[in-house]
Amino acid sequence: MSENLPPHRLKKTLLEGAVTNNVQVIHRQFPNTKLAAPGKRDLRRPLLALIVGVLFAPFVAVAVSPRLTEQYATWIYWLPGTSAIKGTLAFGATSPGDTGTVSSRGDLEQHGLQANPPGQARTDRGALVASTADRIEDLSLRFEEPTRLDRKIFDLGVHRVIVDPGHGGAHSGTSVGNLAEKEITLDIGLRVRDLLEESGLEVFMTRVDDTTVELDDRIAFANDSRGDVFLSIHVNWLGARTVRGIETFYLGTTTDPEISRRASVENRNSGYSLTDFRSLLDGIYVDLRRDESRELATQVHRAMLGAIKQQNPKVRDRGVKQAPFVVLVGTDMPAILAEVSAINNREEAALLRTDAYRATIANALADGVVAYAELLQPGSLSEPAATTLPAQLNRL
Amino acid sequence: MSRAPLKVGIDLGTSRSSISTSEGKRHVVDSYVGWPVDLVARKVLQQDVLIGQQAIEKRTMLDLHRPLERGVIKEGSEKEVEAVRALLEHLLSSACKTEEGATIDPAHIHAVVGVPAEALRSSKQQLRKSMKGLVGSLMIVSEPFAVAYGLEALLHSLIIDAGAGTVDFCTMNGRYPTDDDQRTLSNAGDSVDDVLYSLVSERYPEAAFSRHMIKGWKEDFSFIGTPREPVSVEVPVRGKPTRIDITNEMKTACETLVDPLCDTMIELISRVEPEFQGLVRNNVILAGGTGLIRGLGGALERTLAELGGGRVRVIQDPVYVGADGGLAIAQDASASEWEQLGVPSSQRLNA
Repeated sequence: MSENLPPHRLKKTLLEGAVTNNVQVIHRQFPNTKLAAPGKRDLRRPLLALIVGVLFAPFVAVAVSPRLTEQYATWIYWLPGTSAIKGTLAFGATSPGDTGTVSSRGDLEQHGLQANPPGQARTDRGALVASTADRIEDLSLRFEEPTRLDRKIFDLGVHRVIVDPGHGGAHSGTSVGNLAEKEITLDIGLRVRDLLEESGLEVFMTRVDDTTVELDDRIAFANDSRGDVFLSIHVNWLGARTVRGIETFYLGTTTDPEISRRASVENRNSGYSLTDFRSLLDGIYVDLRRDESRELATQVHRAMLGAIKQQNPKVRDRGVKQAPFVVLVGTDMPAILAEVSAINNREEAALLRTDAYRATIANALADGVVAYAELLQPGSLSEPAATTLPAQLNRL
Repeated sequence: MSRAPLKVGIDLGTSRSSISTSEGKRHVVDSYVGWPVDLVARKVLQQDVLIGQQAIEKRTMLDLHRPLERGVIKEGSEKEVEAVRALLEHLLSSACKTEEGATIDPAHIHAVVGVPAEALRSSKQQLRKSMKGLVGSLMIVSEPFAVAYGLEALLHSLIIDAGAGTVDFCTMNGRYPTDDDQRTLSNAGDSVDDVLYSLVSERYPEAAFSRHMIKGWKEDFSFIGTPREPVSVEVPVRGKPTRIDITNEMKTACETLVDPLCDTMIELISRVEPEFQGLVRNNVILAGGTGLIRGLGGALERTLAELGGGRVRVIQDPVYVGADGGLAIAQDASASEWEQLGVPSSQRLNA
């Protein structure tokens, strides 16, 4: 074990880890992942390949249907040792006579790859795939990173807000006695709606009464309504009675098992597993929407913290965090999930029973959204400055 | 004539960036890059690009960029990538010279660059692209790992690298840190600046001050807990230099860091194997410029006391601790452990 290693051996081990990490980054693999214990296989890559394979299967089927069975053999061949992207490319690279893959072949050839080397026997699939893999490896190193868009390019503003009171109907959320999360989030959500409408924003609610609305319906509603931002309101359960605090989430991966556990609870019945999300998001979710979601989360969190501390000085700032909640994954617009209080804490539960505290939270949430909207388009709203961050913080 | 590789460690920070070389040279620069806004500015400044403090001072004539958001290349703009490259060129050309003052062939430079612990892969790739042509061999490591390596705190320690853009946490368990061992918080020095700016603006609406002034006040007077003396600063109010008291605002702004830092520290320590948690609690290292906020180390120790006690060592000279750690890694790495960036031997750094 490390405790028994002499310093120079320990350093050597650490350096080897650093080199491995760099190699993983170069090859677009998952860096910094925990090294599997000797003898254990890392199942993540085959799992990811399988997930991506399932997701892309319908498209692939259309493209290669005449040779589907044979192509699938190629796909399976790829699973154990190569990445999903390579597997997808391999479909095009190994179907020379297939008109359905002309564009893939063209793309490959454009990048210096041959779709199928002349004279290459189809039965020599192992060598062919290995050869193509080498060249795709070269190709992957020449791919340019996608350039991130600057939102200033577009005159983006916030006009329509989707407010999502968590839970409802059959899903009570967390509760203490007769105090249920679904009732608190709805009350606060309706207050937020009124406040935002006063500021000149259009507000759509995912629910306005105590009805059951499934997560996928909330997502579909938000996307169909073409909301500019999505605000999901929840109340936390943090275990021990002494623990309290507020936290705000935006979409991203997390390594915190506690957040994973809570996301898993919120995502119940979504049809995915957290392992799938983690793997998928690690690879694909780097885009402008996350930056905007983070900004929105920051504005809302600051406003909440400033306002709530006045009534609840002991409140803990649990921070702005990333987590793969389904409502954040599925929505198309900048989206956050605010845990506005911790109902497990006796004092916070008592406060949550009061109108004043709920009004404070609602005000803060609305202030945060307005502050974000103002950030995008200064002066665009009817009552901007008086309700934004500085005023809140000044009262600390 | 062939020469031995020059090993360098680079700490790319949101606020400051530094370099240490195997020949004993060091250089630090504020992470600002500016280009003259027009021909007139170009003629006045007589330079194509200004870096660091010089850029801050001449900012009215410059298109000023602070490219290293959260310690990695801010994405979304080619200008930011260009700014990072200009910053790296400046660091390398300042520190990598022969005794005669000639620039060193980039092919002979082996660089270890520190980035935030949970930096996105795409950002690391951006950095890799920015380094091409500037150095021959490259290794990118997490900043707290570089700090731990430099301080030889490789086993049973917790590094808290509190910078301007991020606070990076990393427990060292005798292996290269994994996700489980690392955390990054965005509540860092810049967020203290934001809060302080808001609070002072609100209390003194007629006072004129800039974010650069706020940053300077924080560096001079930041504290957590009880102030040693009232904090007052001079600012123009309707053009007249006026002294204003910002003690409470400074305290409030700085203390926004305490809860998130303590929570994260406890969470990471609780993940360590139970028999080693005591060792880690007594080997907490607080590095980075934000780690110098007076009272922050004490606040962390008070939290550790609730867990049975512990010790926080504050690194009092944080400027080069990351770069020195990178250099230590560079000097220990064998030839086969480097990524070769393939610099043409004819290419030279801009002086």
